[in-house]
Amino acid sequence: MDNKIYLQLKKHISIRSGQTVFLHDVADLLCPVDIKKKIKKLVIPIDNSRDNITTTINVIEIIEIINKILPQAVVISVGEKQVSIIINKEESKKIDFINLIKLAITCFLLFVGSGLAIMYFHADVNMHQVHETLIIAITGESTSPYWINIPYSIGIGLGIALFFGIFPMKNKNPDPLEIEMFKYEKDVNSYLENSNEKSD
Amino acid sequence: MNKFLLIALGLSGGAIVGTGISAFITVLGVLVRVMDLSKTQRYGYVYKIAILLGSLVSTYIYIFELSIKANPVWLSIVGLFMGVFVGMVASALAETLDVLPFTSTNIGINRWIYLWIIALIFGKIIGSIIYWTVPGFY
Repeated sequence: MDNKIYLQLKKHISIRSGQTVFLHDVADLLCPVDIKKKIKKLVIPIDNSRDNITTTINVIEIIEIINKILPQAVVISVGEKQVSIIINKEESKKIDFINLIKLAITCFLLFVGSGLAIMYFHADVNMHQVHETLIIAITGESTSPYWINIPYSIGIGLGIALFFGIFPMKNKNPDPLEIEMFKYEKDVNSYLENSNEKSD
Repeated sequence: MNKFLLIALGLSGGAIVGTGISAFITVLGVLVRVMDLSKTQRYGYVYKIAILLGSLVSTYIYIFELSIKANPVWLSIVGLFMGVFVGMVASALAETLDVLPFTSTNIGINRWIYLWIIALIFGKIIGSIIYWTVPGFY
């Protein structure tokens, strides 16, 4: 396999804006060491000036780049047909003023909105009737409804915290929100890949 | 003859509601999440029996107006667990789960999303307490 290059493209990589992408960033290579040295620092030409976009590079373009340097090399692609390169804005570690305002407003929105939603829900399903029935069923007389109402209200908060895994736990599985975030990002990426394919 | 018709009606209606309620609990992912949190996936059949018993007992209590005449503390314990269940159902509803990732990506505060959950929790607790304590809501 002296002139064969096995090339396995990665599915997607993410870089910071302005970063140069080399061949060994987008693909795993299997070939003789001297060839590998020559080609692994080849620059993949992408437009990396803009933020928050995804570009795709096809395996054909990469074979073309390799063949310019090594015309006699045989490139065998064993991986993906294309790699999508996600260009991220460099995210600053500290939270700035504008983000703080956004965060405060959205937190307030969720606070008020979720409170309103639970009131709607209780009124919609006649929750007070159920609680009154339960008070009679368990104590046999009409006790103060606060005996059930207040623990019930605290329980709602506890239920949400449990569901989203707010409490720190050892070796926990991803919680539903993390899974949903992952799905959402995957959807966005596959949409961008498709729309890039069409425009090519 | 009319009585047989009533029995048939009640039986089929109950069967439909029973399948509906188990599908509701299962599809929403509450059951899966509880098993995941407690790492008790192996004992799935116990959960099935628990759901069955819970539905049956509460139906009989509701229809026959039974009473066990217990201490009000038991009321609080039942209330707390009712709240946990409702809280889980509320957060499992597709609306919440779909909207949060979309909005957080749009305004670029992905890393702070758990602060939102905290806001949600306190909103629900305080909203619920207002509903029960302030007169005039029902």
